Amino acid sequence: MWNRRKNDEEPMRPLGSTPSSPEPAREGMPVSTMPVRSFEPDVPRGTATIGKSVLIKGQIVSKEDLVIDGNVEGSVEAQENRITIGPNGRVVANVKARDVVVLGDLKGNIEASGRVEIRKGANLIGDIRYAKISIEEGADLRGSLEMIREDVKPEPAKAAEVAVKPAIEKPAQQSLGTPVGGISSK
Amino acid sequence: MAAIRKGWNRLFGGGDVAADGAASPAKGPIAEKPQLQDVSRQSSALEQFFLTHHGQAGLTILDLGVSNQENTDFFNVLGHKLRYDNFVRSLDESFGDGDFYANQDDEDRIESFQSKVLNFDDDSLDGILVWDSLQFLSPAMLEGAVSQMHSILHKGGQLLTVFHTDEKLVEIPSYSYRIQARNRVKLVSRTLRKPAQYFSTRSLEKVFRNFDQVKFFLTQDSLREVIVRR
Repeated sequence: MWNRRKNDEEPMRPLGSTPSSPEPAREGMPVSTMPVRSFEPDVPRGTATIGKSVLIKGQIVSKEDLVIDGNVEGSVEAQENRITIGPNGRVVANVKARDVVVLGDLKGNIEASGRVEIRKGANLIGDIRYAKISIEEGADLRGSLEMIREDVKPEPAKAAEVAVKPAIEKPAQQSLGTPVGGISSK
Repeated sequence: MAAIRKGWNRLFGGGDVAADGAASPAKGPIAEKPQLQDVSRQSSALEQFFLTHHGQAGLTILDLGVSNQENTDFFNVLGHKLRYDNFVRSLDESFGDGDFYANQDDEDRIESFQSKVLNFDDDSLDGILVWDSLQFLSPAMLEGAVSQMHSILHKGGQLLTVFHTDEKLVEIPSYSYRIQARNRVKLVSRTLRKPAQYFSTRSLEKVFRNFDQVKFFLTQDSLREVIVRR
């Protein structure tokens, strides 16, 4: 399933990454924040992208829109922005953002103050809290769906439960633009 | 989470529904190839399902079908929490390569399947929309799955399921069920599948013998809708 687009035209290649390069992994490989050509025609400028040959383990906090088309394990947060998990994206993490779009694989929970879009071909195992949601035909979703209602505040007991849940492993803080290790090229 | 029944195969072996002759194995000549087509129709079972929960909000409903916009929106409006398990896909992932029903005797595969579906705390669900997935379980698997559903449902919770009634067919249509109104459902055709067995009213009563109430509704498209209350 993951290789289903292996032979497709590569949808995007962030500057600075060399997906097919035989070179060994380099420590501290930068994650591009340059505008990129993407599978989404309307991706705005200023979108950070994790290319499909990139593996990140840790906590990602982004203050700009983020496209993940590579592998991420840990947690991903972009409270006021959109996170897109591309068709090649393989994410094992809890994702918290304003909007979340899933085209690839995600194992983890989503919390979105805005809209969640589960696109065709997406595989998602986890619980989703959202203000709005769209689910395309052909998406595989396993988990709970709960709408965030403005007039309902989360119960203290449930909030505490969420806070205690570990995100895979205790990650090192890492912000895009200032990579601090834990990044390797496949 | 200790109450979650990990490895609910401990419930297996309670009985073989087909063994008493009430349910019949799927066999016989194909009278005609059933047509795969989408159907929108009234559903008395669905109406019954929602009547019971009328006026309530904040319930937890498990949908064992394929995730879809219609059902999600419907339960959003009612203020319920919806969970998807994609039961049939999990069946295919665990048993689909090779002989589908022979594979359902393989303990490793059973363990794999059970790790994917119906893993909820006891008494944690208010309703389960099983749709047509129980038809594709071998008798032993069916027994275990129904027992697990009984455990995870609240007392008074309901289960809605559907069985095909036309025993002349070797393969039956499998659908994705989309709720359109409290008493209306759209059946989106997916594929033809061989059922494990066919069920009479009596055999279904035996399958759900541990539940408090079983109601049947026959439809014009050769389906028997079943509402079961714990």
